[in-house]
Amino acid sequence: MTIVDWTVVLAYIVWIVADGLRRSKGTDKVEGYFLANRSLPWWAVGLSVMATQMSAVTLVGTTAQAYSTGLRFIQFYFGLPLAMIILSMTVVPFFHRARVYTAYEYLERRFDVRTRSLASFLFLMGRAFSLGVTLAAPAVVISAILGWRLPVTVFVICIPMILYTSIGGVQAVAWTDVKQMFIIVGGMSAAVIVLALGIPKDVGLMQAMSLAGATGRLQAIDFRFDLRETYTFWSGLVGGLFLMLSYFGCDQSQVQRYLTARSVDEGRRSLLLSAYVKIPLQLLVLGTGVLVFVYYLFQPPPMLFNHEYDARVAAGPHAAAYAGLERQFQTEVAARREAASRNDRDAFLASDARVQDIRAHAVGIVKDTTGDARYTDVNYVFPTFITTHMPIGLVGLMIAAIFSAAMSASAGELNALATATVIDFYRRHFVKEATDRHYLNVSKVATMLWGLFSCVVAIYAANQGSLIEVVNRYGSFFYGSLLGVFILAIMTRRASAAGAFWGLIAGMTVVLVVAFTTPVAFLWHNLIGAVVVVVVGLAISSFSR
Amino acid sequence: MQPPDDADRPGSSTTYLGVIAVEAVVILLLWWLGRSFS
Repeated sequence: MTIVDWTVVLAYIVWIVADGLRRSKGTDKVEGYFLANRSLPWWAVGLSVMATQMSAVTLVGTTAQAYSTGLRFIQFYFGLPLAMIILSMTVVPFFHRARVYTAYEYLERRFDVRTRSLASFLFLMGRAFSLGVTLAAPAVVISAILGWRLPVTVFVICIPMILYTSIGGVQAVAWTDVKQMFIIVGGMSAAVIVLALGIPKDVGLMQAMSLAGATGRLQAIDFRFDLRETYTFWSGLVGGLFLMLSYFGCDQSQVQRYLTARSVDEGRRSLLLSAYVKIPLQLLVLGTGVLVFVYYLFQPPPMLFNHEYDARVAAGPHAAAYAGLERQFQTEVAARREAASRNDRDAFLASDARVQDIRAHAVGIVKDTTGDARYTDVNYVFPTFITTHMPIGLVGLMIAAIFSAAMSASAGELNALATATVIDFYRRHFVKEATDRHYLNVSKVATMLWGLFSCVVAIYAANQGSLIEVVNRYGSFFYGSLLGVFILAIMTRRASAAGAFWGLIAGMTVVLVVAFTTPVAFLWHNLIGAVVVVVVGLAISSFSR
Repeated sequence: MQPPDDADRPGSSTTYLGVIAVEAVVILLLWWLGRSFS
C-alpha cells in the first residue's frame, strides 16, 4: 500500500464519521434516534437495507467461493424477490399501522409478553454473536494482508462505526449506508475493469469465459431436487424464500430499516429495490470471483495466497517437500497458461486439475507443520489481488470498500440490538415510566456497550473456527420458527398466546433435531421451523380454548 | 388520530409482476450462460 492508498482509506473513515455525526440532528428524541421520525425516502431505506445485508464477508468470502466453485451460490438468493413481494403486501403495511419500534413489540399486542420477550431475546443472542463474527471474518483477512495485529483491525473498523451509530442513531446508519453502498459498488466495478483488462488481448473475453465454463464455474443453476445439496434451484427458491421472509420480516436489523420509511408505499419501494437489484449485485460479486480465477490463468499466481505461516513452513520438517511443490507449481502453471492461450480444453482441464492438487498438497503441508487445522487459503485470493495488482489509489478504494461493507452491515445490526434492548427489555420490564431524554441516553449507552461487546466477540471468535460455525448455524435454528410465530400472529385469528409460545419452542426443538441428526441442508431448516410452529401453535390453540 | 395512509392497499400488482418477470429473465440468462459455456 502506498501513501496515496492510505490517504484514500483515511479520507474515507474521516468522511464517514463526520457525515454520521452531522446526521445526529433530529435525533434528540427516541423516535428520531431509532426510527428517524419515520421520514426517510424509499431509495435511502432501500440502499440501507442492502448495505446491512452486504457485509465484508460477502466481498471477501463470496468472491472466494466464486473463485473456487463458480456462480452456483447465486441460487441462495432466488427466494428473495418473491419474499420481498410477500412482505410488501403483508408485513410492511402491518408494522406501519401498528406504529411499533420493534417487530417483537407487536407479538405482545397479539399474544403475550413472554412470546415477545422470547422472540426478542432470540434475536439479541443471535445478532450479538453474529455481529462479532461479521466483524471477525474480514478482520482476520485484512490483518494478514495489511500486516496489522487483529485487535488493531477490529478497532479500526469498530471505533468509527460505534461513534457515528451511537451519536447519530438510525439516521447516521441509513445515510452512511447509502454512501458506503456507492463505495462498495464503485470499488467492485473498478476491480472488474482491472480484471478484464488483465486478460491478454489475443485471448479475449469470450475465450476466457469459455475457459471458466469448462471448469464448471459458469454453471449457476442446478435443477436437481436433492435435500442434501446446499445450493440448488429448489433450495434457493423454497428454502431461500422462507429464510428471506424470516430475515426481512422478523429480524429487527432489517425490519427497523423499513420502519424508518416515511410511508407504507415508500417502505414497499425500499424492499422492491432489493427485489430488483440484489441478484444482479450478487452476480457482480460472484462474477468478480470468477474473473479473478480467469485473471490468474494468465498472470502468475502464488502457490498459496495466505502467507501467514511462510516462515514456519520454510524452517519446518517439510521445507524441502514444500520447495519441490513450489517448483512443480511453477511448471504446471506455465503449462496451464499455455493450454489456456491455445484454447486446448482437454490439456487445460488436465493441467488445472494438477494445479489444484499441488495447492491442496501445499495446504496439507502448512497444516501439518503448524498444527492449524483451520488454515484456509481461498479467502485470501481477492484481497491479495487487490493489494498486488490494483493500480495506486484503487487499492485504497477497495480497502475502503471492504471497510465500508464491514461498517455498514455492523452499524444497522448495532442500532437494532440497542432498539430491542431498550424497547423490549429496559422500557418494558425495568424502567417503565421515565422521560424521553432518559430513554434516549440509555439507548446511546446500549449502542456503545453492544458495539464494545461485538469487538470482544470478534477478537475472540477469530481464533475459534468452531465458534464461527456454531454462530452461523444458530441463525437457522430460530429464523424459520420466528417466521412461524409471525405467521400465527398476522395470518390467523385462531392462534392463542399459549399456542404461539409453545409452537415457537417446538419449532426450534424440531429444527435442532433435524440439524444434528439428518443431512438435510440448512436452507430447508427455515421451512421446517415455520411449518412446525404453525401446526403445533394451531393445535395447542384449539386445545387451549 | 393517525393521518390516513396507503396501508390498506396491497401495492401495485404491475410492480410485483415486473419483479417476477425480471427474476425469470435473470434465471433464464444464467441457465443459458451455463449451457453455452460448459
